[in-house]
Amino acid sequence: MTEPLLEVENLKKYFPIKKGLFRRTRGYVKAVDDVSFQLEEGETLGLVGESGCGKSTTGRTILQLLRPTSGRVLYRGQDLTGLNFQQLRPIRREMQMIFQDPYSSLNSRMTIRNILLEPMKIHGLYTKKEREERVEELLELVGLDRGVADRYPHEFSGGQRQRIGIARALTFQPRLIIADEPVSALDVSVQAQVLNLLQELQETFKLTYLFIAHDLSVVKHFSTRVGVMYLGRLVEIADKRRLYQSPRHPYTQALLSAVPVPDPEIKRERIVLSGDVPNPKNPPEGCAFHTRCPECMEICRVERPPMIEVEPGQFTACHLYS
Amino acid sequence: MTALLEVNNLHIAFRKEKSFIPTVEGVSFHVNSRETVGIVGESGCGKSVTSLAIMGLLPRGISRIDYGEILFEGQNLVGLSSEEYRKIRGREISMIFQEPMTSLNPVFTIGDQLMEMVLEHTAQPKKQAFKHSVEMLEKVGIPRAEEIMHDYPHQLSGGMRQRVMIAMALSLNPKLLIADEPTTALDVTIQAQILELMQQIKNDFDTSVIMITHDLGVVAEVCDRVVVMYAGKVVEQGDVKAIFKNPRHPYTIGLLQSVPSLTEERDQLYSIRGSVPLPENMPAGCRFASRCDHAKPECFEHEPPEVQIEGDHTTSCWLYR
Repeated sequence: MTEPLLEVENLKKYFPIKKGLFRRTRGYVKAVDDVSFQLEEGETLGLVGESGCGKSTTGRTILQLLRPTSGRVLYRGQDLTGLNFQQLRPIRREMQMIFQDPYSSLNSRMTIRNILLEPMKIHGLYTKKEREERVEELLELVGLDRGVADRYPHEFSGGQRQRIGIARALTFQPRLIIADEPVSALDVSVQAQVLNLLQELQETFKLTYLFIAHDLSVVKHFSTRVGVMYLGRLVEIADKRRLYQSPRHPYTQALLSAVPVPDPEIKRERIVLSGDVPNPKNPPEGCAFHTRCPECMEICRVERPPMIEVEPGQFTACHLYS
Repeated sequence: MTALLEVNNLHIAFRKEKSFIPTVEGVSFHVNSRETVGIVGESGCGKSVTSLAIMGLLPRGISRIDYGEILFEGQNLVGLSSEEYRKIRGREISMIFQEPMTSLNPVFTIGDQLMEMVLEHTAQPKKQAFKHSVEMLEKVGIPRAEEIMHDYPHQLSGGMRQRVMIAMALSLNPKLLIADEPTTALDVTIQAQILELMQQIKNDFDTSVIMITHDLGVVAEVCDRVVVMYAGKVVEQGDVKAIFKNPRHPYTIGLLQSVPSLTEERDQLYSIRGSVPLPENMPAGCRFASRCDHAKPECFEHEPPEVQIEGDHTTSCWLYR
């Protein structure tokens, strides 16, 4: 078997809560709490969960935009967590990010040309002429007219801006792209255009995606495998079909049943969870989901469930199966 | 049976620099009593502007109603003075918004804000207003309602705040509730709670609901009838089953096909090419023509008429002429 492109091992990211006169640390928000998974070359792993579950922090910590508290991030076998800024730079060309909000992730005072030139300048790659050519190539790749290069971001619609963000991420022919809610700010019809573009690019350049989103239907359409997060922990991860057809973790089951289906004739049995997600400053003992779980047992309150393989390729962290 | 609300040929324009640019043009629909009508469309299609017009909340000075009428129980609301409108808002028609944090005042307690509504509109003594507000909070499923009365909005979660907004909107038992993207800012599991609550409320309070949303799943789940808007116009409307099972307008069809599905699998999503024209740059003829796969020469020249498909299922498209 080939080596996975990315391995995340026991990744933790705690944010200290500082209070009082001397800014003493009074506790931690455990944004990412012991998350492990692997990403094979060419696949798309969808990461879903509700707001505050740590899915975006996971993405940023993998890229070392945030330094992890502990754990390892192996990119093609090399651990990124110990590397300094200089050492990371060449690796960063191969791992890029696409952001949610195409309005705030493009500098409004720069032309599209300059936005696309900047990464090449920073990395000191290519001659001037090659750079200009690359800009036009990139615009063409994402389906924009090369004549738009001298316009400013405000002249574009949300969908077009997201295309510019994608073009920028493609500058150095990356292998891994972490897309953090790339379509959630877009209207449905435009969302479909951008998803199709990302899919085409994946086929052309053999890209590997970590696709972070909260919309379960979008994730199902787009991913090959899906991981579900709750309160900083990965609760279930499996092949897409298996996860959507036979979810094992009670949280995954509730989440899937909560999605409204655009068909007025389907009336589904819905599991409505009571209450809210607990505060990550003070997560529940044992299984983080036990406060809302319809099948909570005694052991769930005290012991954190380990990840177990319930079916080949389907892992879930729940005491029901241990 | 007369409709509770009837919007007829409504035209709204917004000012841009010196001129007024039409943003809603000739919108007509009705809401029967105890009915939930969904208004769907993408950003900028005029769905929120239409609902603000019904509430009499269009921003003054920069927008105006050029033409048309809004009949609520037979009374035309267009042109009412702000005094007259105040008697209707909250009491007869009320509204909940997308972002419950920005629609609650951060410096007053939940109790203050709930009671203000009751005290403004009725002659109840304060004590009774308090009791009534606590009851309302209990009805929308808020635990520890009496304690929450003394809390500030920031102390509550998003889902709780939306419950407070719903309690406030319903506290005078209005006949019509307008919900503008009420669950868009919420997580799916919380969205499920709120949708469930809205269904239950509709039955308990006999309220009609206008549900404004871009989420076709939400529409299918809660609405009886659907109005589809595109670029300031209604392109199709009808019974929810008719719209989802037998959509006729190419825009409605495209919209339904571009949603990824939980139940079936497709290799590629259908996508509508191009983007919505800008209000100051509206093409002649059908506004969807440039993005439409079935466009004929006449589509680019003449506006399509409204055609009846079956019963109250209508669409504005040259294909069915």
